[in-house]
Amino acid sequence: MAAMRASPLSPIRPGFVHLATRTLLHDRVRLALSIGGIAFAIVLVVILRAIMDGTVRRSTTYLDHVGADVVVAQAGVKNMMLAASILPEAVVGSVGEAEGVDQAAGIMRLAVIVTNGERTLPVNAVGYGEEGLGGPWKLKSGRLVQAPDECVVDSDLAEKLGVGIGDTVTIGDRGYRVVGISRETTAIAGKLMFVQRATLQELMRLPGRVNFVLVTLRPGFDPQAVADAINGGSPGATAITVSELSRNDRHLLSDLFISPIQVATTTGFLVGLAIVGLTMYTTTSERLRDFGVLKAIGAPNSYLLQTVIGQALALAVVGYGLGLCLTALAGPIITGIVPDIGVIITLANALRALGAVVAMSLFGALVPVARIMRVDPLMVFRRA
Amino acid sequence: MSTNLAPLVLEAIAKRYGQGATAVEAVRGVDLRVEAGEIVAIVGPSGSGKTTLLSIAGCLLRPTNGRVFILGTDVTGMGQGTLAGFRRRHIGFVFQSFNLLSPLSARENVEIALNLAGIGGREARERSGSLLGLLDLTAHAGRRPSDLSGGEQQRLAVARALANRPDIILADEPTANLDSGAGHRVIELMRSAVEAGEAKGLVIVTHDVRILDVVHRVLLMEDGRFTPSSSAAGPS
Repeated sequence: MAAMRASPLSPIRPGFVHLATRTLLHDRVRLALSIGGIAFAIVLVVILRAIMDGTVRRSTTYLDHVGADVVVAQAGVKNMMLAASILPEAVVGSVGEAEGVDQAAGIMRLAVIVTNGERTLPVNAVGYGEEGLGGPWKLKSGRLVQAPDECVVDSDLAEKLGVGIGDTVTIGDRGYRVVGISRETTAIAGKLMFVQRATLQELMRLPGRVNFVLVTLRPGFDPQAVADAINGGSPGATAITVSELSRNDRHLLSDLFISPIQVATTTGFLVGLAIVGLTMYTTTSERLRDFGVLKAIGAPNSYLLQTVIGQALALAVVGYGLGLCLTALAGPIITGIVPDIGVIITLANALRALGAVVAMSLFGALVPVARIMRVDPLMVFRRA
Repeated sequence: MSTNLAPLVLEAIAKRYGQGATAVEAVRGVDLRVEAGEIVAIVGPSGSGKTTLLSIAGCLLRPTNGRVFILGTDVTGMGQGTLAGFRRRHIGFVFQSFNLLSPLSARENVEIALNLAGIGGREARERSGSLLGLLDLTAHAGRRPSDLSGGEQQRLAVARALANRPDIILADEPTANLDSGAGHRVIELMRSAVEAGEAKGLVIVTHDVRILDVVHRVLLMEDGRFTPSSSAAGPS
């Protein structure tokens, strides 16, 4: 009697012949091209999102490094980026008296055009006070500003403008001498330049006004509780924790980016889908007779289905791994060339791409699977 | 007709292709009983219905009329899924074109038939190794079919057919693509396998008159029927 066994017919059981991978390995050139193509698609899917994530994260570099726990803005304002906020400077004093507040400092923020001769760049100028809060947190060289006609500029900005310590940059018709070069003060929305608060108040013709009040807390105080307390006692102002403000700004920028990113990632997905589909279609078309033989010798459709899907998944997963590695390698190169942007492959992005690649493989296997299901095992009697 | 223990019994098998005026009667009421240990050859001109009959015997094609019994089990009404399971456990095939899986090694070509029956790991390796030894292919176990000669490929196909110790082996022109020496060897090995109990019965569809002296019975098929000249023979 023939071998009678329970026959769980998975082609990927340990100790069983792995027909799916053996078939793929049979034509190594096509395998390499297919994996390369899928990896390219994954790079397309992942890197744009990684650039968006990295750039969005870097966009809040000021809030993330300035050292404040709470920010007070004009009533109803819950963003710093692109938001208009004007407060009486007196608010700084009243906020400073709130329980738990260690220091309160008003800052001015203004998008300006900075020039050095023929070179012109958009910059976010920050005006801060003598208390120091709100100014640059890391100096590459030089010192902080001490006079109305002095400035500290971001290192990348200095490089692009071609200026160094002692040189003068111009905003409008006024010149400002560079006394310091700051680091880690660049973002997609503009590189940072620091001046005295009064300088920007004068430029904006807003004496006695500040745009925001930065607040640091004494140890042991909860930022949210202090923000709530300030909100209760300061009509006309909105206090918000730095973490929430940062999150709001990131969401704002993400919303601006997300549509074009989705178009690009969908394109990447479709490219990958086409590659997987074409590879699976040609592989299975060439091996239709093999599938006919397998049917003839008793392989059920479920076995053939698993074999084809196994091939598609193997292709996709290897292509995914390669694509992810290429993206990770490309990140430092991209940020080296364009310092304004960041490249961060988040777990969510990687998982999203994995989901996309699994979907690619499953959709790509649909047509081949349908074709194999229709294979007539009687073809084995036809002469090859 | 008693079907007890006979590896293969065909009762009044008929197969018609098409309908109406264009219908073709490929097989017309054929009866066949293959006894345990018996080797039967079916010969006949092209288009006489031999391969259709073999396809029906192999549960690959449903007859229009009649019944098929494999070791006493009536398979005629079984569904496709059940038939697939039945084929992998009870029937071995040897084809003219070998139909080996080119991405797999010789050993894997045998093992995959075992895998389909749920046998894997060491047991599958031992069984495939034993069969490759039986068919003098041990030295070629790791080679791909494309690296083997025609005779070696057909011996490998026989090894795959024997993998699950089938009740019946159905061979379609197994020597057609081989030179006389290789063809003779393949037939001898199949006969030895039946005599050794590796398979219970063997049906060979062939044009090759050289192999008729090694079979027990020769059936001549013409126009979808066995002719009266079909006769018992005796292996030399």
